[in-house]
Amino acid sequence: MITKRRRGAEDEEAELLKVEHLSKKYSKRGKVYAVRDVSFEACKGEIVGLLGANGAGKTTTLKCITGMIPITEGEIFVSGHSVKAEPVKAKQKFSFVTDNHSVFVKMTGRQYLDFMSDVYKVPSEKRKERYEILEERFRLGAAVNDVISSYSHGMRQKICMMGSLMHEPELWILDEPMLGLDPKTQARVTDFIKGWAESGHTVLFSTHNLYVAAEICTKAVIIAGGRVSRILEERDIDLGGRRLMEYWYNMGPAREE
Amino acid sequence: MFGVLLKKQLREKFSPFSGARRDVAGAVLSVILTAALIAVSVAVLIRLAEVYVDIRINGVRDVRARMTELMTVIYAVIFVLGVFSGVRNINFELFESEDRAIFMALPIKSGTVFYSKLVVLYLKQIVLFALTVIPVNMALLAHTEPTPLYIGATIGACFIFPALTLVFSSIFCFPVFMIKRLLRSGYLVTLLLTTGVMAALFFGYRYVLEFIRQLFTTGEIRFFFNESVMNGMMTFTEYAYPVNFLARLVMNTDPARNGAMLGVTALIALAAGFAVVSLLYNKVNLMRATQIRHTRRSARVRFAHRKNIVLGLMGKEFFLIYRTPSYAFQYFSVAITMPLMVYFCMGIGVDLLRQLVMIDASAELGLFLVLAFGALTNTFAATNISRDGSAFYTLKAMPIKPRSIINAKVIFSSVIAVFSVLVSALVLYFADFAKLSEAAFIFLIGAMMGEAQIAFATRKDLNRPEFSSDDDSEVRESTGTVSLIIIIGFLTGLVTGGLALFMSIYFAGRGVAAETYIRLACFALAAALMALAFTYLYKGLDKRLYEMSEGGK
Repeated sequence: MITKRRRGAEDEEAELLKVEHLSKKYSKRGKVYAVRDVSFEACKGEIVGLLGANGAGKTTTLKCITGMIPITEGEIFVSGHSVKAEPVKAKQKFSFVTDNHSVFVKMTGRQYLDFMSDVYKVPSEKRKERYEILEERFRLGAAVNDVISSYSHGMRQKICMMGSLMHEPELWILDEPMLGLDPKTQARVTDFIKGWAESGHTVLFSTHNLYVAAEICTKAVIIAGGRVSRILEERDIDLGGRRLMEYWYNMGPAREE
Repeated sequence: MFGVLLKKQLREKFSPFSGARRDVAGAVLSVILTAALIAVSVAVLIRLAEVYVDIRINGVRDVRARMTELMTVIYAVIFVLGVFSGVRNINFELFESEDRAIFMALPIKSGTVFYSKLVVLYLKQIVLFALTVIPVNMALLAHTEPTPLYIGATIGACFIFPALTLVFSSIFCFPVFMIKRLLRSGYLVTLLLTTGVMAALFFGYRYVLEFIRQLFTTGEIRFFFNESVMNGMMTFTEYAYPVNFLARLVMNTDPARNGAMLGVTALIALAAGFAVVSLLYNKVNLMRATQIRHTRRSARVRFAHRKNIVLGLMGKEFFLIYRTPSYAFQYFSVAITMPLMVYFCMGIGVDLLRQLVMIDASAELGLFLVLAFGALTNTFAATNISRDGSAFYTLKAMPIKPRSIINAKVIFSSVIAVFSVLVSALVLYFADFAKLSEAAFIFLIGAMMGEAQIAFATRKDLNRPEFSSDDDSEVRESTGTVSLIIIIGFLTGLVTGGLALFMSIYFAGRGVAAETYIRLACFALAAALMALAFTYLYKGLDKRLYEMSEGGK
């Protein structure tokens, strides 16, 4: 069992992700913000959970960070590179697994891994080695040679995760990663996330599963109504997740219109 | 519930005119193209009827008999088209539509869903028959009286024939569905089969074009209708049920008997059609809901060597197209058979030009044909963005420059477009329709125009992509973009070919050898269009991709 990693002083300085006053409106003329003035950081070796009810703004925040949707106000930096001004440099540092497991379904699993390796410039000689490490964890087996359109929901989730990890991203971003996974794979993914952070990488994920959050997060950013309601540090979460639960159940409505 | 479902289906069919997916320009273009096609068909039919009713058997001119024969053959052709259309529509609307999985989970009887869809299918068939039977019967009015029976039977046919064709379609749709299912992972076999069928169709089309050429020029067509052909026509009219009932009814031959026969056949057909398709509906949906497809089962994993990002993206495009039968058909089959089409039309076109305007303009005609048929090939680029589906957004989260994403798509489309233009130019050269320098010129202009069309279509799709909600389904092209590409292709073909032709006549009249000027003018036009199209493609590209989110809003 891997235990939570305590951050040291040197880690405090290694700020990998910095979200500054992020706001997002889907309609240019509308007044409703999906996300309003969100700010937080993720440092090297941290596991940051983005927690909130349905419609709180978790997915919108992640999509803004990854550049999938344009931001209305604010700035996002990954390893010091602005996602808006230097998107390619910033995106080289992270990878993203969407909640709907969007993937190019007409490729085989192996072709998809090759494609992701090409995109993230993984050297030819490292691909097999990376695949074997990931295969041990996710156990896709011979299905890796099948066309992805024949995969089940869980298998698609696995291939998406494997693809996103081929280049060993410094920052691994996941939207609802446990959704659709069987308990055994959930446990493996949980261990993998912890191990990933142990080795100095950073994980940012969204969830409304408080038990998972309590078990692995070193920081919890709680979002309600599109705003950061509270940021809980490791000591708050560590009390068996009790503070996290209390906070969660006393939270206001999902969105203030 | 039935009314609600029917309303939903109809609203979807009329989506080009309303809502977020409004594409009035595209719908108008489709109407114009359909009208043009009908006008050409009517012109051919009028001329054919003139020739055919004049044929004498044993020295006797029998207009009613000839008209009945002609109508029977034409109705039979329309009937077969209706059956094809029915098979396609039944498969698409009932067995492959994206909403089938949603309906299966809702508390709606499968019969209600089925009947609401069948009504829409029937309405679609009515439109098809109204657009074919009415113009045909109007064209044939030149040789008969517009009696109330003629008009009534024409209108009646638009309602009866759809029912009849749906029956035949329902019989064929299940085998077609099963064949498609079987061939789903046999990508190469499917591709070869469709290419073969396409080539055969073009080969047949050559005879149709030759027939039309003779009809309008030499009058040799009379010799086609010799004794054995006429005997065949009469035998066909005798036994071509049920279309001969309608032809006789329209021509007022024993109207009570033929009308009753048609009515009874339609009623039996309607009942049989509903029964067959409803029996298949649940079976097919159950098969689709429980299907698990695996193509290979080998544990050996071999990774490729590292590629440039654009090459990696092109690889992605290849698998998407190769493993989706309709895309593979559009991309590979159409492009491979395009040179055949140019060759067939060239032979007929050169003769036609010589006889009609007494000009030998092989190179100009070749240029026009390559550009016009090239436009058909390039319609493929109209779904360059949409066919990625929602997975396109994941590209935005990857470290790829917007230009690389778009360039990969444009280059991939260009490979086959340039290839088919090159083969067409070589065919023109080896078939002695063009000199080597003319063939090289046709290739250059054809490739440039092709690039322009691909760039234009790609940006147009990027501005308004239509992503499928089911990531394993195929995107039907945006009618507007496809129509626009075809029209632009034909217009540029006409303008460029026409410009070359006009200039060669103009300079020849003045005794000036102006080949170089003509080529320079065409080159300048093609270069200008290409520059415009690529400017349109790249203008604000980064901003457009950055701002694009969830359905391209």
